[in-house]
Amino acid sequence: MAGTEASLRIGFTLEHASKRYGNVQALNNINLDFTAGSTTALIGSSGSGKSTVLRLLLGLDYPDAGNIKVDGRVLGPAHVLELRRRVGYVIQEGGLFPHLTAQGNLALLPRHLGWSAEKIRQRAEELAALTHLPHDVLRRYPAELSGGQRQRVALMRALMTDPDALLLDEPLGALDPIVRHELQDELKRIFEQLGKTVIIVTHDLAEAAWFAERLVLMRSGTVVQDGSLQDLRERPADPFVTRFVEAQRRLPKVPA
Amino acid sequence: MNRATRWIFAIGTLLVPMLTQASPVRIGSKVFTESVILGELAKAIAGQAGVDAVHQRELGGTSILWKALQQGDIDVYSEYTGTITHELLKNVAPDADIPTLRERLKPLGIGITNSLGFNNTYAIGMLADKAAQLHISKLSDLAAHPDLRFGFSNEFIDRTDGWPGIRQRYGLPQTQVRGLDHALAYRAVASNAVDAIDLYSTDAEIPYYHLRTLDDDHHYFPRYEAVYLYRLALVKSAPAFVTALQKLAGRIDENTMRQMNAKVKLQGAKEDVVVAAFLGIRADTSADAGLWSRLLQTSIDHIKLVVLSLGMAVLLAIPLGILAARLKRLGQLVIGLTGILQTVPSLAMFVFMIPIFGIGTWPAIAALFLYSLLPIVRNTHAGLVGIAPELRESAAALGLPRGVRLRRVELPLATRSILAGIKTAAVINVGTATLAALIGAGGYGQPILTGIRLDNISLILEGAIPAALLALLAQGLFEGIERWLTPRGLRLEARQ
Repeated sequence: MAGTEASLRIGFTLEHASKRYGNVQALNNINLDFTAGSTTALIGSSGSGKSTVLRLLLGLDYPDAGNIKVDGRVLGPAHVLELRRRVGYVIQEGGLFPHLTAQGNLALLPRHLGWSAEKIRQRAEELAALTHLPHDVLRRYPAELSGGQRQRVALMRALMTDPDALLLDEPLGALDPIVRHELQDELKRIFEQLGKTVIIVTHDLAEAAWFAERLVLMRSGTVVQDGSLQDLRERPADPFVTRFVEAQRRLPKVPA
Repeated sequence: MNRATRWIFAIGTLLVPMLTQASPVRIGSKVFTESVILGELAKAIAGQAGVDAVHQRELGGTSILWKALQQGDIDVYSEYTGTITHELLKNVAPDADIPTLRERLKPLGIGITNSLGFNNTYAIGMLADKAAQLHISKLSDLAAHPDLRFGFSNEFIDRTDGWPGIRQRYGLPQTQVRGLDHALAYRAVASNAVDAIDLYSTDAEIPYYHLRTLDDDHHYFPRYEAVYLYRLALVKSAPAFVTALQKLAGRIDENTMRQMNAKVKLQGAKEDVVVAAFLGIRADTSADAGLWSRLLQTSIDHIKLVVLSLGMAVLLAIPLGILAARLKRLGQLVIGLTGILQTVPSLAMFVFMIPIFGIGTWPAIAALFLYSLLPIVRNTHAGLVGIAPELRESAAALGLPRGVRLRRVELPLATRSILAGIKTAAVINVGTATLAALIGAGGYGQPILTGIRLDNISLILEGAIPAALLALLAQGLFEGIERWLTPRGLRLEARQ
């Protein structure tokens, strides 16, 4: 049924949104629409404004001009806590709290929401199975985890209360290539399995294309092109798009 | 035990409840031997008159005693007429007689006895040999020797009737003038560290160190007749005591006083024993305590000062630090203000508290409290501001309200810094509290003051060693608390 479907997912819209940090124009009059249940990758060089988009969608900051709309309603301070609880957020290096064990990190929000210890434990076990995390790892502190384990725990923390959307900011940026490849596979499987609204920020075109049909290429706070990988390759909107696409290095040819 | 309960427990044990007691007639004395002897004398005659009395000894200098008397923190202390005319009253002739002073003091609610019988004026003294060698016998002779080094008590340097006055009167050219504690000045002049010092004419050390007191040939120094000042309210509340006090007038001549001073300072007799011998009674030795019970008492006093002031500082400074971290403008203001408090010299801080809290334990606690604020506020602020932005944002992005973020994430992450601030405050506090004895709060400063006054090293150590040990103990204690309260995850080195 369409009605229940809509309440389980969440759609975001940026309308003429601008944001400035000191002298830097992070976002410049940007319009973007993320429909409920879609998966989108934001790509671009560092400083292009892609992380700022996520921060505005979560109400961690507000635009200087324009609006952020969540399910058609303008986002304001009054409903920002409610929104954040419906959205999971994962950042590079995980952002785990070092003074709490992995389990403590997972339990932080659920405990505040009044979940029983048993319910928290059960949910953590489900998610450990989903993310292929060995169970005993949950008793350890973040400093005792490997980079890949930290990202898995961060993803679990974001998923604890079964949010309607997932925002990921360079979630795999700090990992070595093998772990990264492995987690790319797992993340893609998880996204497909859960069917949530997903927005992932990355500067790696291949990774972006692996996760999402729709790629949004940003530069200096504006959207340069919004389309599929094929669009970017064959119908570049700007010479920068071609440069960005060609900047992805291939393996050198080795003489046979 | 969760972390919040641990915090409450840790702070709660720091705030031991305190008993205050109503006092009988309170006698004060300045921090020199003659004043202490006259304080003991007043206490002894109160006992003879059947009036309960306590002696708060060694309460610092004139200004502290005078303020305390006016505010009713003490009821009586011994003073000198020259000091009254020059320092305490305004617009009064320097040579005003006692009946005149009595008229002038009456509106202030303060009474004055007649002269006890001796004049303890200021004098300048040099080693007799050196004075003879340089042919100096009177103050005007000093003008011909501009290279002489003077070591004067701090009070003498500042008083209008002290060094500034005689320099002008005698046209003295000397520029090497240093401030010294009076009790140390004798040793300084005996060891040739300075050439001349200020003296009181009844000082016991004058003959002992073979000093020559220089003639005041221009009659600069006023008369310093010894008297008792007392609150007129005593006439009603303890009339027998006031009568007995007045009967002491004329009974002590200069030589008697000098001998009593010598018995205490040079022969190590106790003030109450000397006073009892003078009055022809037996000293009440029941109050004399051995080393260990003295140590117990000073320890209790000292720890009480530190624990109460530090406990209150923690209760105020942590919320202030949190506020400062949250509101940038206010934060700068709060840290600036507490920083200014820290620059007030400690003795001055204690004296500033007297008009508000009187003398004794509470003004000392107030002063120590103010000193303890800065390290705690600053470290709380630094600990919170220093949290990595991505951690702070992760907590916000979870959808936790501000209060929960503060309690569950930010304060635990700042724990180490906050505890380090409290530790710094505690160590500073233990050291500074030794000065509290100057305003009658007791503690380890008491034996140090008495030891300096009597030139008694073992007494000084009786205060200095426990104070040092207590500082080390505080340091160790807070390191233990730090280990206990710091979450284990923060003590781990991150895995690479």
